Amino acid sequence: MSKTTAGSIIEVKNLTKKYKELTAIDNLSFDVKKGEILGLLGPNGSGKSTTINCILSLLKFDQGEIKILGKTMAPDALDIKREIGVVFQDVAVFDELTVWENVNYFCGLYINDKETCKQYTEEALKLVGLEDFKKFLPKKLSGGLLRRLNIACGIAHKPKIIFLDEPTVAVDPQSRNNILDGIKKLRDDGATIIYTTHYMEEVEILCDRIIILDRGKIIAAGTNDSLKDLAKVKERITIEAELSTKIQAKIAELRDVVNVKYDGKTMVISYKDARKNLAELVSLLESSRISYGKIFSERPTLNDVFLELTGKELRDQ
Amino acid sequence: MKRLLYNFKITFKNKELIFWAFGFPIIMATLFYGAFSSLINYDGMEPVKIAFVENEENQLYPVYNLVIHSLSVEDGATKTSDSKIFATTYINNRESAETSLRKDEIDGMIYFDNATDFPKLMVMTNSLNSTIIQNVMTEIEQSITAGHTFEPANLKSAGDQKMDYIMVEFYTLLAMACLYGGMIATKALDKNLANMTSSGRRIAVSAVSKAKIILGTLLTSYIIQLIGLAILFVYLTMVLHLDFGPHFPMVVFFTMVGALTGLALGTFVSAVFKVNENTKDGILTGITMLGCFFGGMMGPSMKYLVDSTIPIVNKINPSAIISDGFYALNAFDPDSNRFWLDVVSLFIITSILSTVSIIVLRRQKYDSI
Repeated sequence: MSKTTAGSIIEVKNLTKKYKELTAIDNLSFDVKKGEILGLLGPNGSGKSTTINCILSLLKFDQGEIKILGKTMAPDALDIKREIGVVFQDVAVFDELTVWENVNYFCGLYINDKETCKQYTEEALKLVGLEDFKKFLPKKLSGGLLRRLNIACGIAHKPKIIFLDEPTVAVDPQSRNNILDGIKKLRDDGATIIYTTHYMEEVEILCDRIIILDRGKIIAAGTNDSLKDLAKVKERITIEAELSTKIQAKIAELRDVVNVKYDGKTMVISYKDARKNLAELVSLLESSRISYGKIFSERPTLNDVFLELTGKELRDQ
Repeated sequence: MKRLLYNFKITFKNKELIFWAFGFPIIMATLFYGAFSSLINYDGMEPVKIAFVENEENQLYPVYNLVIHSLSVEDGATKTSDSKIFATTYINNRESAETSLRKDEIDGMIYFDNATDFPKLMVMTNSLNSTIIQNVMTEIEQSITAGHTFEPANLKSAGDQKMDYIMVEFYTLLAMACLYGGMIATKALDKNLANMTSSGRRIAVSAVSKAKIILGTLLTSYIIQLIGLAILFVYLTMVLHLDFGPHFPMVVFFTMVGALTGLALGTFVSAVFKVNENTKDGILTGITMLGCFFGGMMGPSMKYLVDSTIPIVNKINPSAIISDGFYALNAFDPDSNRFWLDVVSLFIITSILSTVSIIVLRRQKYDSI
């Protein structure tokens, strides 16, 4: 057993993976603390899945070191693998087996005791809300239910560490909520989760810490709030109103305003600080006897952060 | 054990696979039976017309004159009887014999090129009759080489020769079924390989060693293969009433060896070729069908042609080796060198295919998936 960074359950150091000329992962280093949900956020092709596949010892990599539970990860490290659950981006089930049999089969790859395996199978199906579909074949399930089955197969053996690689791609809102609730439950039960997605809303809801990846590099890392603090625009207020040129100029001169956009109906005002902006704006409008429709304030999103850091949207690609 | 049961279920629920591995050989057997039923049920046959060229070159092996004579019917006889299967014309001029052959007046001519070699056989078409002449010539030659006295009485009757011809078709069919069974291993392995399927990726990151997974998969595939072959045998013997000779336990043993070669071939195709599932099916089917073609599935004459022109092909062709082994079991006995040479050849091929597969499958990490 080698030394680990205090509290780290996974350590990735200087990981580099190349596909011929293309560097898919470029000198990546990070760690995952016990019991946290770490989000890997980035557009398609940013290296999220490749990173996970390298950590899981499925892919060869050119450079770097990966430790899980203090031990170097290797394809034959079965004792480490026993503690890991993986939900791949592609649905990985057998079409020939029923929902129950699929979960039981994959659970059986970790749990030898037949009765325990049965019990875990039932619990996993309950967790993802598939109790009523036990005897269904996968091809009879909707896309959302299939994703839930995919998750049940990956986590049925109650692993300590769970890799979830874009588990909500192409699912309906109901299934997505069900999946996200299930993930929170897993965290509450003590699992450490590494969650990749290109949906910023999901990482905002779920993750304790977020790493934003682009072209195989970490471009930002931190908590949801600390990442949003990286954005130059700290608040954005949108107002529907008919505004004269004079009023538009007054608004632009308000404290901390960095940018104003107006299309004749709606004005979007960006602020570099988020203190009392809404109150000041409302006060100005009322003192100028301007009537307005909707007015609302928004904090910057992770997409704004990504946009500022890379010049492109998270979902550009 | 539970995993094995699931593996059985996964395979048996793959209807396409079950059709090709189980149903297709039975359909082929039925078609063959239909095509040969007139031959199988025919009571007598016309003697095979041959010309025997007598000249000064045939002094080294006078036994041929005696044997051919003893195998020939009386002048004017129109039906074969027991070992009297030839209607022989003795000619001392090779050109005249060739002329008769070209005019289709005879099925084949036997002649000596020089005094030191065995006689040559010339036929114009590849047919049942030319195959019978070829068989007789081979048996005489083997007797002389082995230092035995050739006993015409031991030669099979025309009817038996005819059945041999037909059975060769079924032997190649059995060879096909053995090798087609490899498809079961190919598909089963693909489901367990991380670079082939998403289920394979999930299994690769599990807490079960790759060796255990692969061995379990191959064991299941082999058992399913044997079940398929058992069904085929039941159909051939019980429904079509084909006779596989007096050495049935050895036939079963040899079938298991052949199925093992099929398993190794299927594993090889799965491990070595980095292509999609359909292409792998195509490769395995191509290897099997081409091998069966060279091995005599479309008529034993093709096997003889390949054996005489490019002998190495059928020495490494598992289909030809399997069908030859069945033939050797039926025509000779289980102690014959020919049969055991076929067994050893199959084991060598199986070992080579397995070794290459193991080297490839040992790899645990991939460049890309």
